Amino acid sequence: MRFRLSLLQGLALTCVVSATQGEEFPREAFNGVWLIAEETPALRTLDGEIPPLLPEAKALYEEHQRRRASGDTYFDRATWCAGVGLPRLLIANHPFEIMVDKRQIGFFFEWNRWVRLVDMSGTKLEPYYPTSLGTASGAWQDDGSLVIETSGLMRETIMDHAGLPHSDELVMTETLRLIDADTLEIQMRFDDPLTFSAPWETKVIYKRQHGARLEEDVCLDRIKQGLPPI
Amino acid sequence: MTDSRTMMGLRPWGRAVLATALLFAAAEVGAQGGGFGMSAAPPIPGYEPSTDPRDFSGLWRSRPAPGSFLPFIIAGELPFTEAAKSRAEYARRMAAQGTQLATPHVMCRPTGVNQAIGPIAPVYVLQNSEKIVFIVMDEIRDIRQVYFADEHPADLEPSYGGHSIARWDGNTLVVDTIGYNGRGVLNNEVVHSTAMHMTQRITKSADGLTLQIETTLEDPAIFTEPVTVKREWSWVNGQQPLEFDCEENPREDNFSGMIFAEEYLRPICIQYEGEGEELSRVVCEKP
Repeated sequence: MRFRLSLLQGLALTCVVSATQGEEFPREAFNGVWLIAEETPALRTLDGEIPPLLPEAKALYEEHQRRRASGDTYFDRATWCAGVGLPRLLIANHPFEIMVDKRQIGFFFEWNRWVRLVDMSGTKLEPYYPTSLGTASGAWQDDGSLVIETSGLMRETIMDHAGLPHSDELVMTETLRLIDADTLEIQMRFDDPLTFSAPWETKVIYKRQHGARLEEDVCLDRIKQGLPPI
Repeated sequence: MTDSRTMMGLRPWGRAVLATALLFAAAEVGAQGGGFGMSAAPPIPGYEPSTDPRDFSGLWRSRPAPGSFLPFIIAGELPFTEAAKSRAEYARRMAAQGTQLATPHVMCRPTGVNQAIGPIAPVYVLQNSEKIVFIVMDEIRDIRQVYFADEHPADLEPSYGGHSIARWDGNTLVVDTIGYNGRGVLNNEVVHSTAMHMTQRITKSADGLTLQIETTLEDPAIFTEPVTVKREWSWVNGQQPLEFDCEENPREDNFSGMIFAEEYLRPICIQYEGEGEELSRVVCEKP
């Protein structure tokens, strides 16, 4: 039920936006390699505010920042190349590729070769167990935008480089739309009553990387050379 | 919702080691019927096979190799060079003594030709007019992008998985892969070289339920002559993608007694179990 409501919310939102933009693209126009337009080490709300953290989560967030500042990164599983999960892979300064297929939509993240498959069967999938990328179900909207709902996101990951925490209850709803042929916008809504006092949203812009192909990135080989894990 | 934290009682590194142990066991024990899988994911309804002979998209699972209960083994007497034979015998001797030889596969690296021939886990295939992508998620993560093109790029960056191009020969997809970095594995005993050249001919059955895959491997560093391997992948009616994060828990006991013939495989981050109330923790050395 929550998925249906989310899709309706997404539909309402995209109708408003498309009415102002007036341009629609075929689904295949999402195909390609994308890179975040501006580095985003810390997620902020649409108003540019720190997300509405509950007290315990706020304390944890501040502890993460203190530890990072002191050079202690062990709260961040990227340190040993474990999966950093979502939404962090979407805001990392590493390219990803979208591939639209009839049954699924693939997100191929260059960082350590992570793959996210969004099911497009129309069935809302229940998470089998919590994972870093969660369980994602998507639906195309009449205006050509794509709404994806993801749940089952494991609490061991952080949402951004700054260390924004979340619980296993996090539900992420994304609305993807093309602003123009080379600009992708993803509006993200986060609903996690164990971490945030209210749902909140953010918006991220990506630029198409013409002619780019993803490289085979092996994080363990990279850190072995003394390079940053992410 | 199952909790991955206790799934199978093993964290990913442990699963990788278990999988390798099973590989050796399979090689030793030999033929048994049936399939092999690391887990059973919930089904997704509505996934029907296409009868379009050029549409490979969907979900597939490799049948066991002839003479094995695993798909992963390249079975039979292979025309190994002396160097490859020596390496394979060494790995088997170590395994027989209970010592694990660190291989790229066990150490969470992309798996090279092995995963392209007989993956243990299901393979998701996405396809459009530009490429076909073969994806393994519920084992050592592997994404193999096969581009419809006539030639490989001139400035190829060597990689574990190599670079793949494809063309149609009638309704048979002919895939050509080169550009390996010399670290991918053939079968957990033998590492193939940068000269590895893999050619695959993939044909779909008329009912849309089987992919016949004929793979020819040429690598003068490990084979005295080209080797051809045949596999069949069966259609799977939709299955929720699972996640296998090999790097997640680099537990100390996974590496104890392991032999690191290649220094790059030695881990710099190790998870130590806590005692009493102390939590386990990961510690990384400076490289």
